[in-house]
Amino acid sequence: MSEIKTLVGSLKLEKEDFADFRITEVESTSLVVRKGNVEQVMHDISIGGAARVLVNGSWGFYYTTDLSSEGIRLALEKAYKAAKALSENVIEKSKVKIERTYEDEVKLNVKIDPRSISLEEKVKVVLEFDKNIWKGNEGIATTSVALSDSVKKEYIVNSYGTEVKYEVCSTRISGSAVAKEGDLIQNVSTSVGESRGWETIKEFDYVKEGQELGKRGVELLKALPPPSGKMNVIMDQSLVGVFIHEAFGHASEADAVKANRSILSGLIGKKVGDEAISVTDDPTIPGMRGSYPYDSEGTKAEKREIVRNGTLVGYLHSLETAAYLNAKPNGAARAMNFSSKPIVRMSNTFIENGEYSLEELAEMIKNGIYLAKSYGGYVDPARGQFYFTAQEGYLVENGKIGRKVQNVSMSGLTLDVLKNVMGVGNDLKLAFPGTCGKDGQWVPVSGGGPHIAVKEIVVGGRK
Amino acid sequence: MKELDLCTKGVRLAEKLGATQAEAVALRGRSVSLSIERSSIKGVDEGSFSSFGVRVYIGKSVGISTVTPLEENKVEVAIKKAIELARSSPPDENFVSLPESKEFEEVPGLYDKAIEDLTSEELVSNIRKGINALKDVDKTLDAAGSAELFITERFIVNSLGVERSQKASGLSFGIEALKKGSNGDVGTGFDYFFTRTTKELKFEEVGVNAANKAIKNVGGRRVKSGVYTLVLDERATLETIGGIVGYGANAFYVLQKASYYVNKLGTKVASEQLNVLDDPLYPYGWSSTPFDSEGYPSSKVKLIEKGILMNYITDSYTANALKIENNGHAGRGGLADKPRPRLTNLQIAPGEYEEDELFKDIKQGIYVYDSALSPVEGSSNISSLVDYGFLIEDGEIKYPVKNTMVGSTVFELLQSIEAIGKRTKNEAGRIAPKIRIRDVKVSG
Repeated sequence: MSEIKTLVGSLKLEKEDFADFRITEVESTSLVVRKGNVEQVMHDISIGGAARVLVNGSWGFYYTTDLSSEGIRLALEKAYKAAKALSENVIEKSKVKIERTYEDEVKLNVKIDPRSISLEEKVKVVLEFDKNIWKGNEGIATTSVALSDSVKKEYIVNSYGTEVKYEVCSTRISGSAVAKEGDLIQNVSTSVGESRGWETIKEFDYVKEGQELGKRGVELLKALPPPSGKMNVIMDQSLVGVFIHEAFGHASEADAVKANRSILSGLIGKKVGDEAISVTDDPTIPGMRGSYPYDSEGTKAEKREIVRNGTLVGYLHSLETAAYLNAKPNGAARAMNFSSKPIVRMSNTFIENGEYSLEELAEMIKNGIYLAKSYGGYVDPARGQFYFTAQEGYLVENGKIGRKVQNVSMSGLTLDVLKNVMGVGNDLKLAFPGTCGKDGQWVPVSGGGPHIAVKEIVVGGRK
Repeated sequence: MKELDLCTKGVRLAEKLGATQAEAVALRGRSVSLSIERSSIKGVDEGSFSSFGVRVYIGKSVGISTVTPLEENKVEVAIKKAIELARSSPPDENFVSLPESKEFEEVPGLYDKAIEDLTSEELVSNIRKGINALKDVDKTLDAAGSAELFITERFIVNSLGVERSQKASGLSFGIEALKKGSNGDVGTGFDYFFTRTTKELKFEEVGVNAANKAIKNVGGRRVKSGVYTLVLDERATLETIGGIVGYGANAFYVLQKASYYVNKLGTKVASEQLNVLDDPLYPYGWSSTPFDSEGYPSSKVKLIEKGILMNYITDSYTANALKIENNGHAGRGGLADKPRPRLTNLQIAPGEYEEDELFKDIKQGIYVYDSALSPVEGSSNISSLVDYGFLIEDGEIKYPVKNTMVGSTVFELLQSIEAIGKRTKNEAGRIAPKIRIRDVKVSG
């Protein structure tokens, strides 16, 4: 591999220029069972590399599947020449900031490597999980259960001397059930996803999880149609995970700030929310779905504070955004695969604990809705308008959580919503293992927090 | 052709190793992409790729294995792995057979050498025209976006005589303009084009459209919750109906009983003014293809006629399992994914209404543009954010709305279409008019 270091080092770079080469190798397996029928069984091995060169403020990027010395040399040369040829057209020059370099190798840190588990065993788990969704749950029309695992190896060399090699695991099991009565269809799902090995699946209680999932689906057929309008809302931990990710996390990604596409631009040190709110993004929590030891630029991952007691204190950075905003690179540049460029991403994002119990939050909002079990969401970080969806909810009437309502979505505005927090719970849980999409790249993340109560959220029901 | 030979050898090897049926697919291609940030070109991404995938069946048990890059020695590894997976996998009772080879008709205009020959310099010059056109509308606007060019070749061979290859090219350009208003308010607007041919480059038009949309989007206000009439622009019409029909009429979800259109063929699922079809054979179409991802001939499908659900979109798996016709709509997210039915060029027929008639007489409405009103995760509920919209009062567009949601169901929404525009927008084969929908619950 030191040959790649030599090839990167042989580029004719000026003082402010930069180059790196990254090799990504992924081996993954997935299987899908639908209504007890094994429908898909897949294995994939992919390996490729990419050269990235910054010349006179202009970026060139060239990906290739030819990892011979000549292939790598050519990729570096093509990226270099493309960047150089383009540079006279680049008015806004890019820079990178390298505060330190890293030389490290991090081996896969799991108890049981999922690649050592036989397909028969994996099939057994998904079939059992599926079977339990149906058990005693009349009204379920169909089910889908998926199991996937992957081991990713990334090797990064840059022109400043960084040489990092790391391995990371991703293991996920998910189930969904469709309940149907007449024209009414309700869809429920659950999933567990971690960066631990097969032990994640071993610890997964598919009997309990399956039966609960089916029951939730069937119950929604008898639930009330969702209400509409502006109202007080309590969110459960998984919804808080998506809420903070969408409402706030994306706008704190410094590439959005650099590109004039973040409503949080220029607000460092300013109050953006209630005193009770602190938001953290931390890729170093062992075993979480969004965890990794180094980012795709070879910067060591570190815990990042975004909001401290209602004040915006930091952004997530790549080498480029750190240079632009004169901040410290904090290891948030992630690439989906070898053919994608590293861009600023979240990892495990959460709201820190407050002091209230769920019952106290219900008394606090008096009348409104308690929403639970997230599906996901999206945001326009430039305008700060976000959207997220709950699988189910419960009306809160006179301070008590009561009747169940069907799935519904909500929207809010980034700069209003953290100021509208009424109370923060004391039961923090990183309850949403998700996959976040940005610029066509999908990466594993997680999100969570304690229950929180927020006023004036727009709920998009039909009653 | 090397790749086709490798696929053929792969299928034979799989059969030799015990596969009852096998399908090998190879992809090769390259792409060039230029990005725009802070109204300046930022950088260029280029690259080339190749991949190989094999799907084998031993009886009804499936195994899929893919490798990147495509290399002769890896083909054998992939096939052995797929066989190993299929041997350990319980049968998929819905599987009957891969598709047989059948004659297909070529679709003109899917590959244009002029696209392949476009140089980075020419792309740069065109992108600059787009940025300049945007800045000419208002120099305080900020532009972000990208232009992307791709050339792909795909190869499909199966045990039943399918042996196909196809080369395609395409170019897309999208730009988002951002306008800062007073009090920190921000308006954004985007536009894009995608094309199979250099004869339809619209860099400047896209720049101007994005600019005008951003300027009009400044000053968003919340609306009062209530019942409104909606007018959907052509893109909102296409995305909304595409979202509802693309899931509901997808034979895969019908087979799984997850679709709200199970047992709905021949029944009324929408206003009788609505006519919808999917046309994968549209010349120069962005999603056109003479044969689908399994090599089976693509065909035009009537989905909704006068409000009645006419057909599902199918591939070999769903057509065989449901005992209906395979209309060649198999698509793949990637080589590692099993093919599934998917929409190609959705086309919604024009109606009888002039533009002004669509807005006239609306007392309280929302003009929804560049947004989709989608079902919640495959459920029959619609609970959607209006990403971009304007308030309509007494037939006139007033101001942009923000934090506004629509609540309905897939049945209510389409049944409530009360007027369809005469004029349509054709975006490389995806065609739609504006539509008006009455009595929709809006929250703000």
